[in-house]
Amino acid sequence: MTADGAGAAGAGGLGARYPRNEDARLLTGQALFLDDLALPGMLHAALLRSPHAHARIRSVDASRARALAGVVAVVTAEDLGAYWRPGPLLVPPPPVAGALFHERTQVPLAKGKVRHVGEPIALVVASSRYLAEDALAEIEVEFEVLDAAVDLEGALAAGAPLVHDDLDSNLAAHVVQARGDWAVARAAAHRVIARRLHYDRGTAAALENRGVAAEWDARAGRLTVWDTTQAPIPIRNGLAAMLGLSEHQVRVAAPFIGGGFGPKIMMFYPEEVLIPWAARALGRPVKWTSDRAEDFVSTTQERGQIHDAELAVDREGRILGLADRFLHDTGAYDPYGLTIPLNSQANALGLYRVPAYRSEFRAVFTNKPIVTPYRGAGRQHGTFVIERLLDLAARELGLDPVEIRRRNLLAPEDFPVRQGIVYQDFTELTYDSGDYAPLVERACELIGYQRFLAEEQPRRRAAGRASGIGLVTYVEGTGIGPFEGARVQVQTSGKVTVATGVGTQGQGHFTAFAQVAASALGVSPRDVDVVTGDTDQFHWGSGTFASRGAVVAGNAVHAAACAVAEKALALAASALGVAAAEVELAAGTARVRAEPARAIALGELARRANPLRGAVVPGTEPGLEATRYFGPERGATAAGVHALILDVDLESCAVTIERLVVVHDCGRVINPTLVEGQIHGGVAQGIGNAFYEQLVFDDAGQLLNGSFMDFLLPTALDVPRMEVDHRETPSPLNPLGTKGAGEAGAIPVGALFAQALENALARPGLEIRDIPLSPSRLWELLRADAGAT
Amino acid sequence: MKLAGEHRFAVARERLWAALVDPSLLARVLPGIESLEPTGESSWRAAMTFQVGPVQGRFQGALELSDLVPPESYHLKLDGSGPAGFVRGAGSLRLAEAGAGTMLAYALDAQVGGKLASVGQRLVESSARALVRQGLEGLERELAARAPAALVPGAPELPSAAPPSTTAFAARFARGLWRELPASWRWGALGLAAAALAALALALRGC
Repeated sequence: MTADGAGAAGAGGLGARYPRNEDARLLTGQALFLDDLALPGMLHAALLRSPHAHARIRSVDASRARALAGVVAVVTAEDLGAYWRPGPLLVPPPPVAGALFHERTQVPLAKGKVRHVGEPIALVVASSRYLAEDALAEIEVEFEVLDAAVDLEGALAAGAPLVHDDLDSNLAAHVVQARGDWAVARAAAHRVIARRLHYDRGTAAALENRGVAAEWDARAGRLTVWDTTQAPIPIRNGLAAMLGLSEHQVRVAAPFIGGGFGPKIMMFYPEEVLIPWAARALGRPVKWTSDRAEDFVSTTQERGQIHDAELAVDREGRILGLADRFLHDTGAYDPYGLTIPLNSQANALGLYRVPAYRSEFRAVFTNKPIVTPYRGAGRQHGTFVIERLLDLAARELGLDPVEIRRRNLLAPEDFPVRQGIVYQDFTELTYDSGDYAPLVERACELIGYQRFLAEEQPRRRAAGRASGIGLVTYVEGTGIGPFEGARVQVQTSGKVTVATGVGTQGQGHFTAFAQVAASALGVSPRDVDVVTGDTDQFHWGSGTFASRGAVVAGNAVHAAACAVAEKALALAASALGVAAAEVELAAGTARVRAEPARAIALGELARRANPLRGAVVPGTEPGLEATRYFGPERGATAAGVHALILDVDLESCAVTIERLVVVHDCGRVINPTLVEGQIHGGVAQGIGNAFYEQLVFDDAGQLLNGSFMDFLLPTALDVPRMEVDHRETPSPLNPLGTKGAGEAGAIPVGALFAQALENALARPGLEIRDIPLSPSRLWELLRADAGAT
Repeated sequence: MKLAGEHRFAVARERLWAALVDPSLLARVLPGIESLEPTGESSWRAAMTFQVGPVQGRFQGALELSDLVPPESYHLKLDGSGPAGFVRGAGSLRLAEAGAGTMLAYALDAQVGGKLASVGQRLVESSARALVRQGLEGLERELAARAPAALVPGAPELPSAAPPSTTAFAARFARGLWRELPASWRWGALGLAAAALAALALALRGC
């Protein structure tokens, strides 16, 4: 076994379909989720949330609530005193010339004004959640209701109600990025396809709602916080600073989490700021968990954008340039900076050669819940723009949609592709590696593209069925910095422990990282114990987001494991009396390659490396342990192609997906089963986003479908079995060659549905420009088209 | 949410007007009203419970009448809120003579918010209509019950709502059962009943 991590895939090393380490615990109810916590003397919290989208708070009278039996405390903004302050800005504005950005972050409890339905006004702590909610009913708040700024264009119009009174409009940010000369491209074009495209809001709707629990041990001077967060380390650092504690006095642990998807990396939710404070102030543990109705208005959401885009093409359908002007809905506050619209700007370039590009966006404050990244984080929108415009260009030029894509794909010799605009990690957007034409061909092959168009579809049409096919591509910038770290240690028992700072919400880190470490150390992944998301175990890093866990933390684990392997080899070599190059790690031992019988168990080596007495060579580190960090110079570019065959029932406008093919490239794959899991989940969320999930707000900013009765999620009947194929173009940016895969499945599905539906309905005047669709929306489009002809 | 409609009352316009500017009568007929106290000449404070599908709760509210043109019309404003959300609205009532009775026309524009909107959305309008209908029909019954002489002749007699006593019920049940049984079964059924009673008496004596 060499130290670069190359190991036999069959033994559970890199590339093996290893069954997950964590499943036994999860399936037998042995995993700790936040609501399982039951601490002695624990109190329960509930929050009074604003029923109005925009209102001034004239008075808050909590006297009757405080008098209720079982109520320990009722806290308003005034009661927080100096602790009350707006949250930190998580992502500063990008270094783009002329960028305008107004920082307005959320507050722990509303003071003076509420800016969205669901914004917390008061915290109640009581002996049970039931009593706490009864107390909520006794708090009297006098509101002066104001008009709400709800739709994007209306919010920017003159005279619109101001979400933030100290600004003179609801403009939160304005950024223009350009390269090449769009005006020249437009003038030289054979055709310019100009369209307005809409994308609307949805919520991640993770299976587990958010929760926070905290306990202050006054004698030990330690605060322990359990939080369903994707970023325990920044939470710890922030809380320590806010509460005036040293970082080592605070432990933040993320237990098993039932789905993150992005909204759980938002920091600092009001509850994350309030519950630890309350635990400290009251000297008793406090727990808060959200219920689903609360989740709909308190957890961050995403996706509202309006694009006015133009694509300039030549006679052959080759792209001369792309221009995009869009509005981005950031909600009532903008703590997450401009990550989402920057991703939209990046993804509009797709897998194609785009000689001239101009992209301009305005982020708009509205009286709706805050917008922060949700699986895809703005990439959907960019992909929707380019894929839709290519489809419509193909229609105008009489080209097949796949053919027009072929003519524009980047070629292997173009890499690395420097795109000339700033990306969400503030470096220049660069595609590090990729080979896109084979992805398209493989997807065509798997779905039988030509055969369907030539034989299947005509046959079905003759039988009266509206059946269509679609194929779209997407790009995904993954694995961005800044960095992650890992500590790997061989125990005297021979088992290996790995600790890293990222949290886990179901991705399979307990298995993926185990495989990485196991392949470097010659042990079985079953013998590797992984700890994630506990600041007591590892306290440097930023968190699980942007499809970077496997890349950044995975490579840190790899580096640490390799360092431990070197130590083990050196120690074994001196113990066995041979040169280190003659020793290999395999089967949990260090053995002489030529004489495998001469071996020492890893556990024994670990024991010898930690003597209680005697002398060591100066400069030696004890044990078989190493801590290493990995910070890539930029993100690694993953890519893929989705293809779909669907059927539309022309009377009910219900859509049935017959086949769905995903061909994707996420670089070197650690565990194909885990990657497929990510893709399945991503596509399911993509299907939801494309055809079912839409948050509907009325003119007063009221959420009209705040429950699963009215907010539709795709069920097992709506998500098909997918055929997934992997290609690997290893990334040159990290030793393992991996790229991220977390968000891939969700990104192109909106565009995919649109293309396949247009193909199925085959009406020249019918264009799909809005997401999400739904049976009623389709019906409206069909009717409008019938009326127009 | 817009609610509008008409309802025909079989009472004279003046009497209906008097009932409509005094909501204490309405408070008696609407389900869920817990308290109603005047806060001014034409304004009241009320507490009521209200249910819309899975959402239910107590609401505290204020009702204000304005622009009174007796006995023709007035405007009204209502503002109610509670843990389940809020309802705010404004509207008008118009009374027109219709023969010996009165045609009442109402129009109300209301905003609903909070949980009522996000969870109860699909049912809010139908629940509100049901509430209005219950109120108007209840008002009609109350007015008829109070002064039957003022009723238009020929109006249908309303059934009494008092429940029957236990013996009266048993008697009516037995009579009904007797009527239902075919003739050949009747004596057999009587015999069976007698035998059952005898067996019961023996058993009771035995213990």
